[in-house]
Amino acid sequence: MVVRRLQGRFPLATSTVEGLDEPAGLFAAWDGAHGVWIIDAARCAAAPGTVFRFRADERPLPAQLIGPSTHTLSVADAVEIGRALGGLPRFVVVHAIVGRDFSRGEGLDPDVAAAARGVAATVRAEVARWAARYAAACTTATGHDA
Amino acid sequence: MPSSRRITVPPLTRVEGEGRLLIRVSDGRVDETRLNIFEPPRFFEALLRGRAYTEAADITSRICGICPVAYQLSALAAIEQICGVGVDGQLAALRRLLYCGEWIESHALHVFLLHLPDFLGCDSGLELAREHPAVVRPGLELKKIGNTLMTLIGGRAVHPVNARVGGWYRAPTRGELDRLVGPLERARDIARDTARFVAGLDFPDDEVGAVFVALRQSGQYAIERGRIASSEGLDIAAADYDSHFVEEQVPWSTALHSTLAPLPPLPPHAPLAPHAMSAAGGSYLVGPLARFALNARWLAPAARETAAEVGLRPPERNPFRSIIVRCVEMVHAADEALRIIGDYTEPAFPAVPARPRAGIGHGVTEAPRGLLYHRYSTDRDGTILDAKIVAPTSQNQRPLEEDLRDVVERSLDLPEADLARRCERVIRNHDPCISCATHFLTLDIDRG
Repeated sequence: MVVRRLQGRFPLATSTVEGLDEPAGLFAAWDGAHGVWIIDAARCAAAPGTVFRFRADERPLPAQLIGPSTHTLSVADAVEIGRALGGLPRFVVVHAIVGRDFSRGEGLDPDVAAAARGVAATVRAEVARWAARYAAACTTATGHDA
Repeated sequence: MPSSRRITVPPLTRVEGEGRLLIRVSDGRVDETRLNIFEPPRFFEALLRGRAYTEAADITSRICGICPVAYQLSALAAIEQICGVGVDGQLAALRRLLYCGEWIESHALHVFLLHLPDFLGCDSGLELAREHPAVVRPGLELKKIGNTLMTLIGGRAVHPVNARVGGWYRAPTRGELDRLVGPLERARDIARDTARFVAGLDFPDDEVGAVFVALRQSGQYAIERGRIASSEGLDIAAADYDSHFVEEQVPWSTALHSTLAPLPPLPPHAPLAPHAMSAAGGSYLVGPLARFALNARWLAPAARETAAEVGLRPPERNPFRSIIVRCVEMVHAADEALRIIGDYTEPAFPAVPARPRAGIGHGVTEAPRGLLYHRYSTDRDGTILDAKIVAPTSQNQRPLEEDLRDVVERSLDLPEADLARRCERVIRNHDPCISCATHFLTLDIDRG
């Protein structure tokens, strides 16, 4: 839902990938990227709709996020493997939205849907700010527009 | 010492899905092994009813993020059979090429991040990456090459979108494929080096007794088409699948168990038809060990040379050594992809016309984890009336339980934690995708 709200609303040279069923797919998805935003659902004791934001490029993701996953790897595993191998993009943000009901069905819980809209707006603004700073840094470094 | 003990270990990791293993032991013997799959049924077969024949491939590809191509191509084979359409020449070669990408990508994930940690004393792919980055890094390079191939042919790496009934929405240009040659040569080298490396690992003794079942296509290591064959002489068309294999519900699993169908009694002195020569009523194993046992002679030259060099000979029945077979299959997939690209000429049309009609179609291909069977029936407008999908993991549940029983019986003197770890290794040998079968978590050992 977050990614769909963002598609087509980014600067050039920004792409979105929706629905990576397998977190190991992140290795390919972020290959060659300088900045990456990952949005995922989370299950924890916090209230549904709570959003956690992590700067994964600055420090390891919290230990409790690394571990058993119903996928072959968790998102946190993929991020930390990328870091261990020196393949993590320069700027990586993870937004985790706490869900209420993970059973099958249509629609989203209102609190979770509101949080998703908020994350979409936040990511859009973050990408715009980061892209502007990145372009400015490239111009300064090379003397040419990025 | 209590008379009854139940040991629960932390959730089983490095498999796709959610479930539990229960083992009951009495008097030094294993009474029962149950692979409890409690992930809710996913109702894909029901979801397909009422949908258009053109939608089956895209809907079923959503069953699995690791092997979407397998689902697409089994679905397309079945639907095209109903439509009476033959997809051959370069259009068929492109399907095999797409599948090579999935084999490379899926096997690389399993070998380097899921299976190899077991052999190098690491608890996770992350620990392996931290302790042995030089081992893991080529694995991710290999995976990336597989993804690149899938993106070019399939439109994107996850849930590709370019395959359609009758062929493709767009066929790649010669120039686009030529750009894959360098990376695929690199993939073949990495896979070959990895085969040499893993062949030197320490492999526990183990042997699966189940019948091997795989596709067979004379002259080729079957991937995207072929007849269903077994190590006991079975040789049938996909359309005869339901006559030779049965699915049954077991109380401890939301995934169906598959076995070879019991044969009807034969009159005295009746000649045994070749298709009837199967270990009827028994478990059977699909996947890399089965494919290698039945089809090793048709491996691509580089893969055949690699197998011989590392001492791999068919049949290989030790599931711990399946990691070597997967490496050989990656060599094969890269070599085969290079051959297909070398022979490629751009087709005049990306697809042949395929009109809907009423009928029943059967499609079977070799997913990285083994045989994947689809059956559909449609009405004359092409609306899907009924669908049946049999994933590799549900076919491998029974032999996996048998393998666990044997390993546990030989390992009962191990401390509980070591025994639990051994069981997890046995399960990962078979690379189960419980999401496909319908997720695998705790291990309970009851030593009554």
